[in-house]
Amino acid sequence: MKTIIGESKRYLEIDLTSKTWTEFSPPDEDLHDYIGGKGLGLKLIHDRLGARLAEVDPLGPNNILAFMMGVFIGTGAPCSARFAGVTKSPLTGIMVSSSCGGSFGMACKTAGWDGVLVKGKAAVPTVVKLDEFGVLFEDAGDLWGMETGSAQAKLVDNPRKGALVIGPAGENGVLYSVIRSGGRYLGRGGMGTVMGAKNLKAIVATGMSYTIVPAKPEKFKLVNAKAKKMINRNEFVQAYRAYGTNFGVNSGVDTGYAPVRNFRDRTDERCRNLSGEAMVERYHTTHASCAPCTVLCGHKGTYPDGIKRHIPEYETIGLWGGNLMNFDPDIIGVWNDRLNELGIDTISCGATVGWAMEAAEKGLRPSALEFGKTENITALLDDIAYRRGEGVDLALGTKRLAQKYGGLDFAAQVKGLEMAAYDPRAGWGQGLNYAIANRGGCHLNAYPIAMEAIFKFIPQYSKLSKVSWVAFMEDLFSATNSTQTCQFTIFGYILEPPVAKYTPKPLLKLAMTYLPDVAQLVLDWSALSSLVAAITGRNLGMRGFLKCGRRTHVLERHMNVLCGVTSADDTLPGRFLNESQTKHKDLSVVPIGPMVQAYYRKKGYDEHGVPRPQLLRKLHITP
Amino acid sequence: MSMTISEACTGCTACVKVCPVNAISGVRKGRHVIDASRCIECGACGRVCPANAVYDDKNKLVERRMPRATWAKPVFDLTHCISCEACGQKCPTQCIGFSKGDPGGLNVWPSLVEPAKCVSCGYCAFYCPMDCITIVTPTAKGEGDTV
Repeated sequence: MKTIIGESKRYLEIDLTSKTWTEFSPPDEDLHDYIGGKGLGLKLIHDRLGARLAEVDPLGPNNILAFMMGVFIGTGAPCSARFAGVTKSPLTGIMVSSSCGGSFGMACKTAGWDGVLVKGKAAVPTVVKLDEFGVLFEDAGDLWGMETGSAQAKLVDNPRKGALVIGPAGENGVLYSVIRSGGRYLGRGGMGTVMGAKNLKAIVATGMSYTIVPAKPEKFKLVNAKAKKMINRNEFVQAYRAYGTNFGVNSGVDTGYAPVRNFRDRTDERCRNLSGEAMVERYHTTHASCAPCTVLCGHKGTYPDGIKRHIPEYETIGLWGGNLMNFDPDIIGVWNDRLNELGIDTISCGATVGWAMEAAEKGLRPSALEFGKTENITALLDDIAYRRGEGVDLALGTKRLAQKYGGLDFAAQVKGLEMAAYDPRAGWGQGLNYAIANRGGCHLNAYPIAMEAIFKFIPQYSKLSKVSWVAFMEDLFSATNSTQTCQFTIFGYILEPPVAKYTPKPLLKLAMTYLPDVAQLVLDWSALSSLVAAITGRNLGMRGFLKCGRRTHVLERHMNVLCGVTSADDTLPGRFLNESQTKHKDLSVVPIGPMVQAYYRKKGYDEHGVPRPQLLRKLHITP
Repeated sequence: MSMTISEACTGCTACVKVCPVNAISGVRKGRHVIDASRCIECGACGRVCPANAVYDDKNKLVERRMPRATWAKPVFDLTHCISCEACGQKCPTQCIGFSKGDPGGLNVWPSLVEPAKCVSCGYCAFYCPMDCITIVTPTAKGEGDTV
């Protein structure tokens, strides 16, 4: 096998209209500034579309779909099965990026390609096949119309291969459809819809033609061993390992972030039926991870009907469970499988169904959907994917529905993207995070609910330190998503070094609440920057690494502003700003206005949320 | 890159039977060919070839090694195993099985349940996130040489 030192720096640009492909290498400064993954994907799209971004129709031939492998894949670094997808979203009309595991990333990277840009639109349904020598365009034939699992099984008939496939939902233009890679998904913002609009059923990569060798193998060996140790002994990683992402269900009921009855109630004791602890007992779960993975949040188990299924993740459990007043874990497992086969985002779809139930209750929109009624849901999922009956409407997502029928106040979405399963009234930082997150109602932008309600480092109902932590964590997450490793590893990387581990927890809490900027100065995430340095040979340093994240984040905001985002979009639905009375004992609404303004100042945006020209120049985004 | 079959091939089809990914085609008594896009470079074809006709990607002869019990096999050091099942998931011949570790717990421990099916491809070791797997050639004394 041939070897690649660090990165191949070779990227594919595929034009589906003319069925041609070219190879290019981004300049070294861009690799230095944006690392790879999400950051570089945004930069490449920005370079190609730039000021035209506003006019580009997300479902038109001019939109670019970028799959970026990042720098970790194939090296054996912790959780290095992940790659990024970046495009302009048809659901929100702004930029969307997503991180995904599964087999495609490894296959593409070891075929010698660090990234793939897809533009144009094929005349007939097409499958793109790539290997170390280049690209082949094939007619999709029978594959078009197939569900994700069967299409993938047909395409991936060799252990060297990995595929990205869409399901019927992507083909039929459901605005929140996903792309599947192995058992993982590029989930949010309708990436599958973009692929479907390009008449592209699948991309199949044949890899294992190259081995990836770090630029500094000795350093890599040391840092990698240390990094894995940190992840392995972290107590939050242990919780993910034992109960999956559903370990958050019980604390959601206690602290009031559980989405209950379309985000009306904040808590319901019956949600405990759906907790990770209950699932382990009920389904005798074992791990089901992206390979190679060190966190192991994914679980599989045997359901009462004897079928082995992937246990739904927390967001799916939240939005299809309490959110619809359904407390039967078995049926959620069945729906989860069906949604995955059809290629539908479980978060957006769950929130949309929740909205439709409440709208029907309030008489805004006639529907057979009712809270607590599960019999008609299974058929509804197919209706959405094939756009029949009620599915025609529901395939549009909550924002468009609310604009059509009214009820924007209880549509759990920001900028068109449905919120994940965390009620922002339970953590004001989470509220700020939803309001300003670049892709819309995204929980993974800075994930402050973890610090507020799950780990309880900072107070839930307070503005103290929230702006600072959101601004810091989103930069760190952006940088992490540019290396393309799992965001869950961050807990290990920043909580395990001695300074965080041996400071008594009350002291740590005080420092994080009252002196967040000082706490951020002493925190240590050098494991990540050292891994990047060892693999690529580019020594960014800890601060430099964070700066790459900030650059990525500001570039994404800059592109969103070009797409038409204004400060009026940086807010929450009325429900979270006005309805303090819920079933949870604590009264709370999110004081979003002042927090957003403080956030703008912290990030260097003007009062309208536009990044200032001097900030763009300082970060080398504009010359 | 992939293994290649030279003119010395006698068309005995031994390699076709052992190839875990069905990459080899050809007619009996005719020269066989390996599909480079499918080959995973495990070298099993060379190790069973009675005519010494298989060469690796560096054009080096893959030596015949029979019986199969003498082939290199994965050895699991379970001290650091985290039960992710990546080895079993990625094994092209499904020769790795898992047994429940602690009753009621989540841990499952991998082992080579069907050593006769193993083709020494090394995929399990490549995907192991904790470096618990080494591919070892058994020796007469029952010890092993790491490959």
